[in-house]
Amino acid sequence: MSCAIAFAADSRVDFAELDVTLQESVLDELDHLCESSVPFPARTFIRDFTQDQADARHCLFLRLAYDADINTLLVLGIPITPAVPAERKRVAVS
Amino acid sequence: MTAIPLFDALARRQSETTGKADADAIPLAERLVEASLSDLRRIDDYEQEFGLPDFRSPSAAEIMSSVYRLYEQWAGEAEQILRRVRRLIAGGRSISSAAALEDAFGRVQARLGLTPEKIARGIEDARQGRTVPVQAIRDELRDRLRR
Repeated sequence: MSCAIAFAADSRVDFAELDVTLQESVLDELDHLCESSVPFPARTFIRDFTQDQADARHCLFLRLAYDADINTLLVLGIPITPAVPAERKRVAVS
Repeated sequence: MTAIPLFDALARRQSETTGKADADAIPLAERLVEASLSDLRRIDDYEQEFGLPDFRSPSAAEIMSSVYRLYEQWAGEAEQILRRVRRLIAGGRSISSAAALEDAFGRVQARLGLTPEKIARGIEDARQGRTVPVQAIRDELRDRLRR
């Protein structure tokens, strides 16, 4: 399905604090969701994924809602995520 | 409920005699890890089934806040377990599913960054139409990359 994407005003502030690479990952993920053929649930929903960088693994967590009235995927919140340090990342992926 | 005090007692008993973690402490640590992952799966199920309301529902923020508390409590206990597991791994021991628990803990930590207050603000923004189209955000990002 194809739809518009909008950020709740508060989540935009959090988004702006993310590293640029992570911002791009979030936007790519939202695009991917909107282009997916899977219909959105009627309720709020969650999307989480990881982004590996040179020295850390970032867990990104998006709280989303789909407003069918305006065919828009709403980003309700993006937390500022603590990165998993490289030492622990090695444990996490081994 | 976790058996962390039992784990500590077992680990202490053996370290007093041989300087190494008790043989019983290893399987107990593995059970603690499995129990923690199982608890998390149950919380995930609760959330999927009951904890994701329509954002227009008057009780949406309260429901999501309740689920947040469940994850917060889980993370506190999981961290206690992971501290002990990391010590065992650093001592050359292998603990099955430790990597899965590390990964799960990281994901839950990320989730906990979105506090109930922030969730409530996001919901209220969406209800009131205080939203920003993604194109404006892309433009800002492009400007940032050019600088």
